Amino acid sequence: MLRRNPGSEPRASARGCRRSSSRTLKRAVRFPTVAALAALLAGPACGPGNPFTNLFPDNRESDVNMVLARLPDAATAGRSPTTSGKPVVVATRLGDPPGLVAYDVAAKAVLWSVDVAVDSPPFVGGGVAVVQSGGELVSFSLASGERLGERSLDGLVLYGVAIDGGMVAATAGSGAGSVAASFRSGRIWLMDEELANVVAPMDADKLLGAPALAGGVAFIPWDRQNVSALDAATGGELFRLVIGDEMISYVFAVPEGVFYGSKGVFRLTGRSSSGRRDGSAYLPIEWSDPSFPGEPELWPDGFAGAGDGKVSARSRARLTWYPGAVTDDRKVAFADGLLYFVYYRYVVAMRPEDRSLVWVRGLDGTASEVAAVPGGVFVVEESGKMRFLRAADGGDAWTGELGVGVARAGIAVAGWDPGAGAPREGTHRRQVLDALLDPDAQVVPVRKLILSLFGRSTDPDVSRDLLQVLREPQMPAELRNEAAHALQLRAGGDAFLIQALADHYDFLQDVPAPPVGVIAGALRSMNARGAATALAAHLLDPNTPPDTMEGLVRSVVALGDSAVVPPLQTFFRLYGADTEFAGAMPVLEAAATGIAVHGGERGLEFLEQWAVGPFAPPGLARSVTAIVENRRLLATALQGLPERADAGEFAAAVTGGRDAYASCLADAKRRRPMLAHVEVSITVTGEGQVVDVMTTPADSALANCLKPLVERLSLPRFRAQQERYAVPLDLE
Amino acid sequence: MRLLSLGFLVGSLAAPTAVAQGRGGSETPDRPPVDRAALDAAVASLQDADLVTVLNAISQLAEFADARATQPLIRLLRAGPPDDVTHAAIQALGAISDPESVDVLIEYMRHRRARVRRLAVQSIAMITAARVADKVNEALRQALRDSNDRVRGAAAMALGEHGDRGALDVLFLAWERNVPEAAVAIGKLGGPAEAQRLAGFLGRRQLSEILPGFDEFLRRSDFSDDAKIDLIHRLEETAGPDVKRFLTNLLASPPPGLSQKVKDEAQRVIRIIPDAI
Repeated sequence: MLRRNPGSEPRASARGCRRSSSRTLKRAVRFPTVAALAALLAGPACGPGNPFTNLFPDNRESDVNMVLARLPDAATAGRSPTTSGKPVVVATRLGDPPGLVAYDVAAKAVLWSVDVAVDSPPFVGGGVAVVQSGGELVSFSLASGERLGERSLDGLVLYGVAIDGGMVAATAGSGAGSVAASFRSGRIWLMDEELANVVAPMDADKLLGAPALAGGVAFIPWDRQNVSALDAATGGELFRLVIGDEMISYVFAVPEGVFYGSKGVFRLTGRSSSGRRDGSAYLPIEWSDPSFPGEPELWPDGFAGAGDGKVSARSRARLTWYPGAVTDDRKVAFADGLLYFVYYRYVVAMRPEDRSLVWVRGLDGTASEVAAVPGGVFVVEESGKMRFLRAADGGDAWTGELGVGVARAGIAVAGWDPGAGAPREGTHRRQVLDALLDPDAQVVPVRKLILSLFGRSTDPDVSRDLLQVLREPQMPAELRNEAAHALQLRAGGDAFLIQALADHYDFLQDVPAPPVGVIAGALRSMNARGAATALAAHLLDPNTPPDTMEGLVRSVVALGDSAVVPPLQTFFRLYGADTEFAGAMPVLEAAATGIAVHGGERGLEFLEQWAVGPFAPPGLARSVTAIVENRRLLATALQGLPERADAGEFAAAVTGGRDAYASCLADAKRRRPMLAHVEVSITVTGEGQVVDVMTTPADSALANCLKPLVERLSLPRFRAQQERYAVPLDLE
Repeated sequence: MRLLSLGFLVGSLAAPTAVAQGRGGSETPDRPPVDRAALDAAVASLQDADLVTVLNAISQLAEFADARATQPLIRLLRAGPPDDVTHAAIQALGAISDPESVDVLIEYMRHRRARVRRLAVQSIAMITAARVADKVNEALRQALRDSNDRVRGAAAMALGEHGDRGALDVLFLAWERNVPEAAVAIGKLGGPAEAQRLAGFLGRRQLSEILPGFDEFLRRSDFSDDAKIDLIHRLEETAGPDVKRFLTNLLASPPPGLSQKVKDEAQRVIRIIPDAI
């Protein structure tokens, strides 16, 4: 077994380029001499690396093209990341003693297992698996498990390791304990697979991120804004990209290309030298509606440190994707057109461009590691169970068993064809519904995400499924709210919500009370006037929860007309002096308002007589008297107003005040660059109070931003309780 | 304003007494004549501003059980009284048992407070007039679906008292859904087939829940001796101290007309069950 001292001389001497010591390099970088600068400006040929100097030109197209010429041809897309071509998984073995286990996926066989302390996720590629063990990097042969070499990390925190073409690149930096910190002090190792120096370790007063390696070029992200390409054989800087309009949190290389970015994905092409999203091959992947639980990065943050190799919350909620092969140097594509979100034991496949839901797959247990590859996504569960889920439907194309518990794993299966596997049972809707009805409280956040995405489907039957979720007695309130919101956004959604109100609690038939509070709020937001009678039926249902009564009464009043007066009067009589709402006067005040608004003079007389009756509690009697007096006063003021505002006049009032909410539109445009127009539905009371704002396409961040700002505009007043108006807005 | 409104309320409570007297009273059971002056005084007191006076008046009207008090009590309820008055008025309507009060009692069977619903169930069950029997029975069957177990229990008992044989299926559904009072109602209403259906739960439900139903069957004069003996045989199959105690109590206080044949069979089973198992 080959062992090297951390500071041993680089092997590059064998290639004719002996490098300076790291100390010399560090000094040269920090205090560049004229000679050193001259050498840097002269180019990378066989001189000391000296990357990251201030004088290196940024975003030079010729430099980028030179590097692109060294990268593997596009025809190598789909090539295996291992030298042998075998699909391999190397996992951190749980238990005592700890260790690594390597598995040949195609042969369904354990290749080897070694006892070793593992303090990072395994990095797999070429012919080796590399892990941090204690304070060292250690390399193991993929074929045999033989320990090929070690490399001291010199007390630094490992950021990442990249393996390709017989070489290993690693970056590390100063940290706080074992945690990566934002210190501008990093080190780069360019080594062979035995972890011997190819180039002397290079120190830089930069914040370095996890490297990428392809075609003998190491790509190093630094200071969260730059990517430098280094000649892996010499350490010389080949190009430097400075990205002006997006932070850089990751760089990685696969046969399909070199990719970098943070909120979105840049692909390295000849256009990359623009240093901006617009000029580059760039795909924006930034949403806020709905958000992913756990707020995972699009690709793991290369500046966050490689991690300690243990299971973490971050590893349980993550996004994964694999680049698709494209020839257009302006485009970025995802393999199979899919982005995968993994949350504990669920995998959700969606389209990256609009996050339309493609499939949902529940696993047996929590996923410890996932990797998207062409044709699907490879999952290693904490139990050691492994699956290749087909991109098409999430079905098992392949399954295997490591036989040990797994903390983290390195997955190198790209390019391997697992075969078709058995078809998946059940329809897409059934599969989604099974996930939505999963009683496991741990996965509520992902169920909420699935519900939100599912609700956007144009399949009309989805409304029925959402209704089932809404009616499920054990459904957590946040999911019911989400289901109601999703129904609210669907064409004909009000009909399904009204249909749900037809149910009343029935002990014998085991029928639960529908979630009246959620439905009432949604129907009011939709201005569903036809719902008033169905809602009023729940006023007098003893199973309507007390905490939803105020919202229910207000919805009945907002949507109703004179037809709701009798049930409101019955309700008011029954409970005006009863202890049931003794501590909830707003419920009764809302009912009294409804009687006053819709009951005409007779309604006002009813209230007046009640207020002076022997049983009226004094506080409520005073409120009722005030409601009656206000209504009489308002009647005069309302006489000059139209029953409803003219739609054109309302739209003009909103669009005329665009300056007030322009920032909302700009933010929406930034988040969704492809979006040019939205239709904004505004539910507003006759007095100008905005009840609800919704947008089509749905963007709750935009709606929430608009609501208070629209309310400040001078909106037309009208006599009706509330009305809903649609206003088209351009985002440009 | 307040005086005017009080006058309005007083008038509305008092005026239709005479009308009420002509209705409903003919279908209420024969009762001793009520002192008209006392009745009118109690009705008038329903409008008193003092709640204690009102409650006393309601108690008096409940004692009188005179249908002429029905409408004043209904108007009192429709005025939206506080809890105590509501409870007392509903109970008074039950005591009067005037079919004219069915609608208001049904309204209160949907009250948000379970106690009010239970009282309304108990009161409506006391109205036996044939012309409202269907309405009452339907209301009681609906009450079996209530979310409160005590309301359901009261409804089950009431259906049994009310003699609603058409409710047997829904009573069995309630029984299967753990409404134990349904067994009593089944025992009051069921025939031999229902008795055997109830016996089918021996070993699956607690004996203490089933025996009240058996007790009803065995004490009925319109339930055949053979059917009673069949029940005793079913009990014999699950012989135990509870069964022995049950049959011993039956023989200790037998219902009028319990045949010697049934008594002998019960005695035989008592003898073969040891005192302690």
